[in-house]
Amino acid sequence: MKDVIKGNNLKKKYKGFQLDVPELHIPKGFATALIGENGAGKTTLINMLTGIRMDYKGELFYFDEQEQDVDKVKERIGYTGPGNYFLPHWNVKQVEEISSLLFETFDEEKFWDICVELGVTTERHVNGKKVNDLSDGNKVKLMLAAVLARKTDCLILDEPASPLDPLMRDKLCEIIREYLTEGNGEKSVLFSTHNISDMENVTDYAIIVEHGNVVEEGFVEDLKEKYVLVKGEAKDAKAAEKILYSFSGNAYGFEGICLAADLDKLAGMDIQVEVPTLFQISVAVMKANSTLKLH
Amino acid sequence: MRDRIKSFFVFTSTGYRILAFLVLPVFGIALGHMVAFLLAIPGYFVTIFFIMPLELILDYMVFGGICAKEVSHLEYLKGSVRGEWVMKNALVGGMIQMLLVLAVVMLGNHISYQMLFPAQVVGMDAILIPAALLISAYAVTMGMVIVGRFFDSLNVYYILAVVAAALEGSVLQFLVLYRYPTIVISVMLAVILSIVSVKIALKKIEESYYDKTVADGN
Repeated sequence: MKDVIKGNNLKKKYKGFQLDVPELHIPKGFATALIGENGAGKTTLINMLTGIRMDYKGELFYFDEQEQDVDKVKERIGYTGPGNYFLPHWNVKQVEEISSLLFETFDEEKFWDICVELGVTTERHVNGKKVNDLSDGNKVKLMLAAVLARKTDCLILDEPASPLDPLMRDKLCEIIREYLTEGNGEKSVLFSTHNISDMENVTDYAIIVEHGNVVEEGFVEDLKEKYVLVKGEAKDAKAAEKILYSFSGNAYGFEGICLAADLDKLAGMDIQVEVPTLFQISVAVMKANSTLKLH
Repeated sequence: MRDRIKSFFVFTSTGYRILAFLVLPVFGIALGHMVAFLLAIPGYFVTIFFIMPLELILDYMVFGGICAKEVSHLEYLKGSVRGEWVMKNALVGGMIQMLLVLAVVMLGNHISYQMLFPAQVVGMDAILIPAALLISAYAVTMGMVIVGRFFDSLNVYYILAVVAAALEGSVLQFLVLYRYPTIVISVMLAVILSIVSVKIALKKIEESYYDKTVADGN
């Protein structure tokens, strides 16, 4: 498997928090979801990968390990970030103008096509609203228009789905699929997300981060073989709870996620085994590693 | 050159550009003319004390807080290798705008006074004094801008506007007593403070790539 981005011994320390990733693999040609609870380190990691933050230890390699200097690959990476992305007084036209100054491959006509398609503006080549006056969802759409109007080889999107309505989230998945298809294995996408359910159908590879560490990663299909969803009867709940990663029970029964390899520990119980969703796997893994007090 | 100019204009809002290139010069020239007409003195002796605070407010509109501890809203620029280049052009553009507007106002006031009182406008002083006021006003304003950019607060700029006016008043007194030394020092300060203002802002932007992390060799 080739990596679009590979990291070795990535470390970054904050007061009360440390990001520590001995090995990072973002596979080339796939959509990778970076999943984790609030404060897990997703944005910190993305900032390091995109060169927004430079103070960290470790090495990063880009595009089949051809390049280590992030400045030399910024032109090939399309990054969208959270809140403080554009200057608030910029309008849509100014975003177009500044983009053509910042990026060599920026295509103005394609930018306006995407703006109209996503509903950022209704007409082309108009000033449009100021960034400050746009809703959070429209800000994300404007960011997407700005990066998709360029020739890039990797999209790194920090929480793109959070402010979007369900229809637009579906559109975002379509955009990601089209981007990967047109790249024919040479383009890659990395996105961080809380909306695992909405983004699952476009996710090929998942990296689950908890408290600054990668606690699980793999192709979604492999993870769905590694973990199973177990459903059983209430009488077995107490015994099963010790084995399951995540457990929820009521008077009628229980369900939870466990490793497929641990299924034999549930021998003797009347259980039903199903393929879990990525959402269920992620929650289970995060719960097992979380510092939150969950009842 | 076209991209450098474009960098400045794209960085600034429409409101800023209207204020900076239309309202301010027109106001300065009109006020100077009125002063000359009513008080029979060159208008620039009065307009300079209005233009300087207004230039400070203009700087706040674009660059307020750019040197503050947490510089924000620059992520899109930082995602490009040309981001700092665009920022630098915007900062230099701001300086040129300030110098240009001061020069236009001073020239307009000078012409007004010359039209109204042609006999009064004689000798080297007729050129030297407005030129010296222009350069010293620019230097003082740049000095206040350097300080103001560390704060994302308009109130700080208001205070700096008062300080600027007081300083320029002192310069005026020095100009009367020590004409040529004042001019030389003003020119030197104008150049030095211009360079320093851009360097400090760019350094702060560069520092924004590095968090103030707990010491671990970072």
